[in-house]
Order: sequence, then structure tokens, then C-alpha cells
Amino acid sequence: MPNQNIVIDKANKYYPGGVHAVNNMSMEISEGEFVVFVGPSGCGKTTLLRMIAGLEDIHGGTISMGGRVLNDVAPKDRDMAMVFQNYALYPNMKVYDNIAFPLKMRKAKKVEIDAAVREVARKLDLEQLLERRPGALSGGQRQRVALARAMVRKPKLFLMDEPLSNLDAKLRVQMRREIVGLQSELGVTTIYVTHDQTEAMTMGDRIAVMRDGVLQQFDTPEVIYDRPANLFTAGFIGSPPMNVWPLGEGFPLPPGMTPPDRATHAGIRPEFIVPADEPDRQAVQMRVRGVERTGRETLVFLEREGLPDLAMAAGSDFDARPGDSMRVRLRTEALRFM
Amino acid sequence: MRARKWLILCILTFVAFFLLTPLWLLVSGSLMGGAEAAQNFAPVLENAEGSAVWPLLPKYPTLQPLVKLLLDSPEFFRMFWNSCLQVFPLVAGQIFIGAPAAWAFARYDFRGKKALLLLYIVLMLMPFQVTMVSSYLVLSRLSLMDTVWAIILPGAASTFPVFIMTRFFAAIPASLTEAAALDGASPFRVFLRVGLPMGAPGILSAVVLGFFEYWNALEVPLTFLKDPTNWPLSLYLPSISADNLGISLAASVVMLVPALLIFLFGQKYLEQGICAAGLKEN
Repeated sequence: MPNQNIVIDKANKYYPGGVHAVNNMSMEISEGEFVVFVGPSGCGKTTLLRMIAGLEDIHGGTISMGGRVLNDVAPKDRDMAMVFQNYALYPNMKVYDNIAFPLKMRKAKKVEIDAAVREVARKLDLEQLLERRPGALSGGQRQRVALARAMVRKPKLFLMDEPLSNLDAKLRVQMRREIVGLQSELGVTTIYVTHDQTEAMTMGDRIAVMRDGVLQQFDTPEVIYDRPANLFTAGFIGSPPMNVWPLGEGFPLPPGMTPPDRATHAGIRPEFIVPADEPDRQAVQMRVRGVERTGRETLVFLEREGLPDLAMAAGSDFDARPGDSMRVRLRTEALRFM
Repeated sequence: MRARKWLILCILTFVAFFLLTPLWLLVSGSLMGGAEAAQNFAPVLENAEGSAVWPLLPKYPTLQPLVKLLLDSPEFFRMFWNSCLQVFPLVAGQIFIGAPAAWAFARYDFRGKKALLLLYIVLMLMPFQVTMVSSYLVLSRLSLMDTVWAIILPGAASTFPVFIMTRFFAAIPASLTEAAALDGASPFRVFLRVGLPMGAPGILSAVVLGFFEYWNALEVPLTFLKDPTNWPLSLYLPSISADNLGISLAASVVMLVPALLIFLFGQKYLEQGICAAGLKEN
């Protein structure tokens, strides 16, 4: 059997009014990989997911899986399962029937359906809820049922459209871990859409950062965080985002460091700005504009006329107050160019 | 606040009293014996002197008119059966034809959809009198005049239930039908397994409104059914003479029963349907 890689080749999508929702998108997703589409609202991530699912027409380019072009294949024949943001559970059916629905549609035998439903219900801790209707479930339980319905028929691809956005923060963290665990256990290729960069960073094997329908960067979370390809990725991934300034302004580059030819900006992550001692000649004096304590770390926002504002991430015990003056140093080995 | 609540209650009770009075008089009249009825209503029916009296309770309550109607009026049963034979298949036909049409309007985009929907609305707003002649000619050419099909076929193709059901189908979240499509359901199965159960309130609204319209219809059967043996129950009441006033009132009560049952069963859906159609009455 050929590998089931997903290949998106110059895919385009236009909406009425000339909106170019997906613009010449190309990427290859390997079989078994967990890929996250991330970007701000309106960046085209959900549209691309729906194009892969067959819920939106493709207006140019191709999307294929295992070498088979899917452009004209009906959603039901694509062997994909999708988890929707609002769960999309059938309210007229019990949990058991919701989970069994994809197998019934494929005319599986009753015995097989029952075995598959009970197995997936056990895996997702839904055994006690099988006779209830979706209306009688909590948000987290509904989410599990939606996952169970997607998993029950062992599709070639899972598509997840912001499945955790309706859950509270604590449950979101828990479900995040569960989804990653299940995906790794099942080994099914998964495409996950979110606007939450923490979800993207913690869940994905690779992340596709998108903006205005254009792919900005497609790489592992480590590379995207450490070496953002452009200003947008540098600003979108990381909280607070990377400190960025135009080359030639702001902080001078250390002697011997030459930026790449096409680079226009330099940047550094907040954790690579450190307090400096008096005799440090590379340090600069800056004023503390604000301080945010997250418990695990202290974020210090610095300013000085003629220099770009900086965000510094220090330890939780770091003591600074707005209005203080302090010397800081940029760890130049962590400087990046875009 | 409490006083206001009482005031509203009083006003509503007053209005309800006026609305319920005819119904009460109908029931009390149906329990009135022939002689008592003749005596009470003589000034109206026989131009006798004095004024008619309609007591809240008959002086000598009797089930005689009801017994006579149910046991001694074969034409009543024939017409009751005619009504059932015309109205139930008609309403079933409305759903059978209307639900897929409404689903198409609600869930699919196709060329000419807006124009077609406008045409449906225009047809829905046309009173029977406007389409009467053309319907008559078509039915006559198809040799369906004076048959039960003359009532059922035009009624089943009515655009009103399509309009009602379209509103309900359109309110079903797209993600549900999309989920079903991805789960392997064909478009027809999506309609069958998701559309119909989720749109059930709309379908029931259409059933209730359709039933009321055709159960009480006078003009349509009068126009298309010449033979009185085919007439529905709605035409039985006008055909009763003044001598049988008690039977007439008992027949009215019996005729009300199915409508009342449908109303009690489908009140919620009826309200939803009226809201969806934006109409006060059908």
C-alpha cells in the first residue's frame, strides 16, 4: 500500500467579493504526522481544512492523499473523520448511536458496530454515557463523544477544527494531552486547526503558520520558535512575542556578526535578554515600563528613547518595579535575522 | 408588581371568557333536546315572537342529538370518512413532496433558487379564488373532477408547507450535515437521518397547519366535488336543516374533536410554524 501522505499543491480558494482565502498553498504532510494549522482569525486555516475534507471546492491546484487526487472526491469517499468546533453531535441520537453512525453508514455488521463502539467508549471513558443524549452531557463529555465518533471507524485522516475552543482552560489542557496521546497511540495522520499558539506548540509534530491565506512557515515547533522565517511568525508565536527591530536601528550588532543578504530585521526572544552588571560594556541602561508576574516567570517591559521597546523574561524571584532603571544585555548568540 | 399581575390576569380571563362562550354554547346546545331547542330558537328559526334564548345549561340535558347523529345519520359517517380520506393523504402528500423541496431550498445553492423561492411565495400568497379557474380547467382536462384526487393532488402540491419547512431546515447547523457527509452518509441519507429528525418541528408545524386548513375547507370541495356523496364533513353542517338544530350542534362538536386533538398534540409546533411563516392565521 502506498504511503498515505497528504500533498497540497498550489491550492487556492476564492470567496465572493474577490477574497483570496487560500493563496497558492503547498505542503506535504507525512503519514502518521500531527500537523497544526495556526494563525489569526481569517488566515484561511479552517478553509484549508474544509478543502481537505471536501466541504469546500478547490479553485486551483490539487489536494491528494496517497497519490490520489481528492479535488472531485465526495467527502464520504475520502475516508476522513472530522471533529468540529461545536462538536456537531446528532442531538436526536443517543451517544451510542452518535458513535455508531459512521459504521452504520458504511453498512458494518451489528456485532462489529457494537464491539467497535464499546471499545472506543472504553478508551475515552464514555461507557457510562452511552444511553444519554448529547443535550445531557457536559462540554468535555461532548468533546469526547465527538472524538469517539471520529475514531470509531479508524479513518486515514483526522481533521480537527478548533475542537477545544469551547472548553474551560483546565479541561483544555487535559484534553490537549489526551488528544496527543490518542493520536500517538492510533498513529493516524491528524490535522488540527487552532488560533491558540500554545496548543500549536504543545501538540504539533509540525506547525503551519498562516496569514491572509498564505503559508508563512511550516516546520517543527522548535524551529518555528527558535528561527522564525519572517516578522509575522516572530510576532505570532511566543508570548510575549520576539523583540524585533529594523537592522541599522536599535541595538548594534556585535563585531563580526553579519546578517544574511535579504534580512531586514533582527530579533531576540525575551528569555535571551538578561540583567547585566555595571562593568558589562555591552549592556544598556533601560527604564522599566511595566512588570507582569505569571508565577513561573516575571515579564519586564523595558523602554529607552532611541531604542526599540523590549520584553524580558526573568525568573519568578526577579524584583523590579515600574519606573526603575536597570542594565540589560542581549545574549547575541540568540539573535535572529528575518 | 403584584397588582399588575392581577390586572393582566383579569383582562386575560375576560378575553378568554368571550372566546370560550361560543364553544360552551355549542356544547350546551348539543345536549339540548329537539323540543327545547325548537322552543328556545323559535324567534330566529320560525320568526316567532319574542327573542331567542340560549341557556348556559339546557333545562333537560340529553344525549339524544349525539346518539341520533352517531347511530342514525349514515351521511354523517360517510362525510366524516370522506374528510379523512381527503385530508390525511393530502397532508401526507404535502410532507412527501414538500419536505425534499424545502430541504433543497434550505441546504443547496443552485441557479435560479431565489427566483423559484419567490415564485413559491407568490403562489403561497395567492388566494384560492385566483387559482380556482385554472385548477378547475386542469383537473377537468385530467378527468379528476369529482374524485378525491381533485382535493388531494392540488393540496399536496401546495407551496405553503414548503415555505414553513424551509425555515426550519435552514436553521439546522451546517456542521451537522457536514459531519454526516464525512461520516459516510449520501446526500439522501443526510436528509433522511439528519434533516428529517432535526426538522421534525417544522414538519409537524406544516402537518398541523395543513390539517386545519383542509379539515375546515369549504370552497375547494364545493368547487371540485359536484357529487354530494364525495363531500367532506365541512359541507355537512351547512346542509342540515333548521329542524335538526340539535344534531347540527352535536355534529359541530364531533367535527371539532379531531381538530382539537391535533391542536393539543401540536400546539407547540403550531406556534413555531406561525412564527416561521410570519403569519397570524393560515
